[in-house]
Amino acid sequence: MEQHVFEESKKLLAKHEEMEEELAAKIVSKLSSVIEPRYVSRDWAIRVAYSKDSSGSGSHDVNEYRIPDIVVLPGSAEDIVHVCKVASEHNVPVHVMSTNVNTAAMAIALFRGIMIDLKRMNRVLEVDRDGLTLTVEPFVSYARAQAILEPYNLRINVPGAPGSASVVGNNLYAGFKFFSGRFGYGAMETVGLEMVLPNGEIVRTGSLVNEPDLKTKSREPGVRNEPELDGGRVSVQAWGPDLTGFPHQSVGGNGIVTKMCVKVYRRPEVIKILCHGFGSIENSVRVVTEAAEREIGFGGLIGVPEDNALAAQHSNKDVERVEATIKSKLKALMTGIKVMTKGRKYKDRESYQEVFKGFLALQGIKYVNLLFLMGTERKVKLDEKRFQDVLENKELNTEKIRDATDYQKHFFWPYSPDADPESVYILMKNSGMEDYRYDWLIRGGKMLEYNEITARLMRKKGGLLFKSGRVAPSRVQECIDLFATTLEEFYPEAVKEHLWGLMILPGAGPHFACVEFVVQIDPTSQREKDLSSKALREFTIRALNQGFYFFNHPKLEREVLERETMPKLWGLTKKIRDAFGATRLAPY
Amino acid sequence: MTLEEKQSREGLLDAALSCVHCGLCYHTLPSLTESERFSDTCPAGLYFGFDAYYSPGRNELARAILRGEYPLKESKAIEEIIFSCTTCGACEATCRYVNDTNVLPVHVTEGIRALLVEQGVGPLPSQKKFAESVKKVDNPYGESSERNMWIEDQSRRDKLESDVFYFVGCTTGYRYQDIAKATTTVLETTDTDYSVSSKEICCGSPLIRTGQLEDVERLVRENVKVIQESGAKTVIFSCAGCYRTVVKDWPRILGEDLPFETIHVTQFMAEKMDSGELELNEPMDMKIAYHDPCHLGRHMFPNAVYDEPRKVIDSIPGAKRITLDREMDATLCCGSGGGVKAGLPEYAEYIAKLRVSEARNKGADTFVTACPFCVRGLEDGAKKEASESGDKPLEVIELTELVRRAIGGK
Repeated sequence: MEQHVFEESKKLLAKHEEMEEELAAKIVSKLSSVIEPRYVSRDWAIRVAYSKDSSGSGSHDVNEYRIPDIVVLPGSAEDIVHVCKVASEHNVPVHVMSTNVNTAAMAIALFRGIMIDLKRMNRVLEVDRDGLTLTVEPFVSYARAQAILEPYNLRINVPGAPGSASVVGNNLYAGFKFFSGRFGYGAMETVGLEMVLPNGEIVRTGSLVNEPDLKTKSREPGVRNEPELDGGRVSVQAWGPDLTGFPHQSVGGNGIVTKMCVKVYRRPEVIKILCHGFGSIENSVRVVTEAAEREIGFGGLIGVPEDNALAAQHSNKDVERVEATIKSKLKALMTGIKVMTKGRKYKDRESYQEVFKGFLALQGIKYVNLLFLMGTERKVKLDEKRFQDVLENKELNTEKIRDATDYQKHFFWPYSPDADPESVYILMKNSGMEDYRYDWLIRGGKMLEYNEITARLMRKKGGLLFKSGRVAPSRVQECIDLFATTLEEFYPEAVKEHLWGLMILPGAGPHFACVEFVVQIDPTSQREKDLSSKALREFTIRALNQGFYFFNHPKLEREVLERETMPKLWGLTKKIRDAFGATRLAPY
Repeated sequence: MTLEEKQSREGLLDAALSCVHCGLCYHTLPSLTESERFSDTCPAGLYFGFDAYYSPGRNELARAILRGEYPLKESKAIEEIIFSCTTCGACEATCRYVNDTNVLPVHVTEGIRALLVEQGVGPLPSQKKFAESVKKVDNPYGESSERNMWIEDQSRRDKLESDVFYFVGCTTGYRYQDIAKATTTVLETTDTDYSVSSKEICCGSPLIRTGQLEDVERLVRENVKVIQESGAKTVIFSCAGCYRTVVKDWPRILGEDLPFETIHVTQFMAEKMDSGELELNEPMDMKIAYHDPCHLGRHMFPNAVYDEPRKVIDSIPGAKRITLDREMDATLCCGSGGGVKAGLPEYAEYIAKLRVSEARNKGADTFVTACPFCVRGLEDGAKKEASESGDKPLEVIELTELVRRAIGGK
C-alpha cells in the first residue's frame, strides 16, 4: 500500500505530456461556465509565467520548464469547488499557487494539468483584537498582514521568507518564523481554516467552523475594504476533533485552503536585532540556543570562509586582484547579509561583499550571527547581559558586538548600496514600523541574494547544492559533525579543496533548530556532481535515521522515502486522501 | 546603452533571468505606503490577474519569447500581455529598494515589444497609428497643422539665440495647449528669454514605449539639430514623457551626451521661487493631491523629480496638500503610460478611476499632476469615478495651469 504511493508518484512525475487540445478545450469550456472566462486561460503566453518560482529553476531538471495546461484564477471557494470537480471528472492533476515564493519548485505544475492561481483571493477578512487572530485569504502577504495589524498594535510572527510570502502558504508548509522559539511554527499558529477538498467539498475547521459572513467584501480588482473586527474567534482545537492539520505540508494535495485564521500577538515592548561575530561554532550555538531556550529570540548564523582573509589582504590595494582571488578561491557563498562598505569604492556589490567578508575573517570572525530578540525591556536586557558574559569569557572582542542600529551604519545595510542608510533608517523609524520593516528588508535581501546566486549557478548547469533540515537545538553540533564526516567520507574534495559554508538557525521553534548546509561544486565536473550528490543523499538518509528531519530536493526526498523512513506517515495520509477522494490530485 | 544593445537578446534574457520571483513587486513596500488598502502598484497585474501580467511572470514570458520556446503566432494573449504594461516602473522601483538588481522590467518590456513588432506581433491596432502618423506628419496624433501656432507672442516662434528652448511636445502642443500657454506664462513672469520652434517634432516617446523603433533615430537627430540651430543652451519641458525620453533615451540613441542642458518646468518653477523671481500670491482654497508622473519620478531614477512639484504646491497660499497613500516611488500609475491609453482604453480608465478614488478617499478636491498625458488619463478616471459615485468629478489640473492661477493669471 505504502509503496504504491511512491510508485504512483513516480509514474505521474514521468508522465507530463501536454494535454490534448480537445480535452483542454472541453475543460476550459466547463471551467468558464462558472468562472468568468477572462479568468480561465489555455494560452501559452499566460501559462509560461508559471514555469518558475523562487527555487531558481522551473522544475527539478534545470533545463526543462514545465508549465500547466490550463490556468484558472478563482474568485471564491465555490469557484475552486468547481475546478476540483471538473479536474476530478477528467482525471487531471491540479496545482495551486498564490505568491509563488517557494524555493523548492512546489508551486510549479510538475504534472501539468490545471494551475489554480489564487491571486484574486486577496482579502484580509478579519482582525480579532480580543481573540488575537487574523483571518486572510491565500494571496495576502506577510507585509500586507502586518500593515493591517499595525494600527491595532498587533504583530504577526513573520517567517524567514520575503515579506511577499503568503501567510496561508507559509503556515501550510510548517512556516518557520523569526519568533517560532516562542510562538511555534506555522502549523501551530493556525487557528482554523476553510479548505476545498479534492472531491469538491468545503470544510471549515477550528475557529472558522462558525464562519461569519465574510463574503461581503469587494473582489473588484484593486479595491479593498477594511477588515471586519472582533469576530470572537477561539483557539485551535477548542471544540473537539480538528482537521486543521490535514492540509499541512500537502502543498495543495489534501485540500486547497481558501481562508485561514492565524494567531497574532500583542506587540512586545522590545524588538531588537543584534549582530555578533564569533570565532567558533560552539560559542555561537551557545548564544542562540540561549535565546531560544528563553523564548526571546531567534538567531541566524552565517559562516565566513577563512580564505576570505586572503582577499581582504588585498582589499585596500587592488580591487581587481581581490576579485580574481575571490573568483578562484571563494566560491562558498555567504547568504543572508548584504554588505555596504563606507567607501563604496568597489566595482560591484559582489566584490565589496567578498571584501567585507575578508575583513571579518581577518579579525578572526568566522561566523556572523544575526540575533533577533523580542520581549519586555527587562527580559531582553537581562539576556543581553548573559550574552555579554558568554562573549567576554571567550576569544571574542566585545567591540565586535553591535546593536543593529549601530552596526548597519558601520558595516552593512540591507537596502541597495546606493541608498543612504541613515535617511532610510530614519524614514523607517519615523514610520513607527522600523522593526518590522527592517527585518522584512533583511529577509527580502536574503531571499534575493540566495536565489540570485542559485539561479546564476543553475544557469551554468550546476553549482551549489543545498541541504537544510531540522534538528533539536541541543543536537546542532552533532548534526554539523555528521555532515562533516559524511562529506569527508563521500566527497573529500569538498572539505579539502572546496569551501563549504553552513548556516544554522538554532532556536527556530520550541522543538527544533534549522540547519542549512551549502556545498559548492565545480559545475563542469561530472565526477564532482556525482560525488556531492551521493554525499548529500547519504547524509540525508543518515540524518533521517538519526532523528534529524531533512527535506530538500524532491528527487532525494523520494529516495529517502522509499527507504521507509517516512512511509507510515504518507501511507496514513493516503488513506485519508482516499476517504476524501483525493487520489486525482498531485501526490504532494 | 544604444538602441541596438537595448534590443539585444542576450541583454534582455539576462535581465529577465535575473528575476528570482521573490514577489515583492506584487505590492508596494509597506514603508512606502500609508495604508495596506492601497498597496497594489502593478496596474496590469491588478486588472488582469494572471501572473504573466505581473513583472515576475512577464519575465518568464520574455524568457520563453527570447528562447523561442513556443510559436508566437499560437498565442492570442501575447499582444495584450506585453502591450498592457504601462511601463510605469513601479515593480522596478520596488525591486531597486530591496536589492540592487539587474532585473529591469521596463527595459525588458520595451525590448520585448520591439522584438515582437519586428516579428509582426503587435503593437495594438491604435498604437500602430502612432507610428504611421509619425512617419507622415512627425506627430502621433496625425495633426498636419503647423507647430506651436498657439503662442500669443509669435516672435517667440523660431527665435534664435534665446536662453531657453521650450520643447512643447505633441500632446501639449496639439491637445493641451492651455498647459503650453501656462508654461509660457511662467517663463514670461520670470523674464526668461525663451523660444519655441515650428520645426520641433515628436520626441520619439510613443514609439519607444510601444516598440516601434524604425523612425526613432531620425526623430531624435532632427530634434537635436533643431535645438542646436536655435542656439539655446537649455531645453525646458512641460511634458514628463518628453522630458524622460530626451534625458534618458536620447543620449543612448545618439551614443553621446546631449549637447544642451535639460530642465522640467516643475524644477524651473521651484528654482525661480527660491530666487524670488516667481511668487505665488493668489490665495486658493483647495485640497490638493499631487500625482507623480512615472516619467518624472521612477523613470528618472536616481534623479526623480519629487520634491519640486510639491514645493510649488506648498507655496500656494491657502492650498492644502494632501498626502496620498501611494506617492513618489509607490505611485499607482494613472494607467495611460506605455501606449496603454490608446491601446486598451477601458483598462486605462479603470486604473485612472482607482487612482482618483484614492485621492477622493483622502479628502482631496483637486488632483494636480505635471504631465499632459496623466491629466488626460486622470480626467477620464475622474469622470468614471464620478459617474459611479454620483459625486461631482474631481478637478484634474496640470501644475503649470495651477501656478498660472496662483500668480494671478486665469
